[in-house]
Amino acid sequence: MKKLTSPADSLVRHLDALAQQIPARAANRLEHRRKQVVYHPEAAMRQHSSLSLGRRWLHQHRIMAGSLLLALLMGGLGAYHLNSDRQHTVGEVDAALLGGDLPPGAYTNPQFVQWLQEHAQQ
Amino acid sequence: MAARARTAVAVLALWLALGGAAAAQGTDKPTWGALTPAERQVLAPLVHEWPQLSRDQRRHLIRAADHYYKMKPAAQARFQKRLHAWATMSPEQRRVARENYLKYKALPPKVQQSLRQKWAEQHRASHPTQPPPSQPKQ
Repeated sequence: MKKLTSPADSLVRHLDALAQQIPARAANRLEHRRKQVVYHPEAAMRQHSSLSLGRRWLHQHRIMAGSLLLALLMGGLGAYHLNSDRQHTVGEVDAALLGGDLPPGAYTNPQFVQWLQEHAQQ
Repeated sequence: MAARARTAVAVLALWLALGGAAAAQGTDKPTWGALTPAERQVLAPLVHEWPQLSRDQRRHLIRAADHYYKMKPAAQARFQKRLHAWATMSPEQRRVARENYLKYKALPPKVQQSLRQKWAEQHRASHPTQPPPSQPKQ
């Protein structure tokens, strides 16, 4: 038998050595899969196809998925800013009301509210 | 590797979006200790009530305190004097008060003055021994 000396031969030797180290269970699964591909190629392809369906969907719809994520991001940030603006406005009104000429209780007093409505309608 | 990086970016974007929404909803209550010294000084009349105040009430008060230093001294005094009564009002009462205050401020100054006089007269009639709650502008 001719002795292997080239780099390719070394690689083959190394791979053979590694193949010997594969656990029996994994080796059995690999063998089963090899036989399946050789003897029933269509079934094997169908199985492979269904396994990668999710990945293919993501790949095909990456623009849509990206847009969805972007919309979520923008929505979250928009909601944050809207709420922040609302709090700022309420705080400003509260400050003016508390420091104003009339006590806060006046604005909930039924008599005062009635005067207010009468004048607002004029 | 590139797929993993894309997944990481997507997860980060989703986390940011959900985090933004959560922040918009507001899940944290600012504690008294978390206030700045200036805010604590303005809101000092509420130091004992602070733990009982709702998250929204605390945030609104902190926002209101930001405007305190822009007020004239007389308005600042009224602000602090009324804080306690304001904090004891229900959220609905505060909402109605804000709404009616904005209606009042939308009226012409003369009408506002007339309403202040009416209020002072009514207060004098119902509380003859007490001074009016505020002096109407002349």
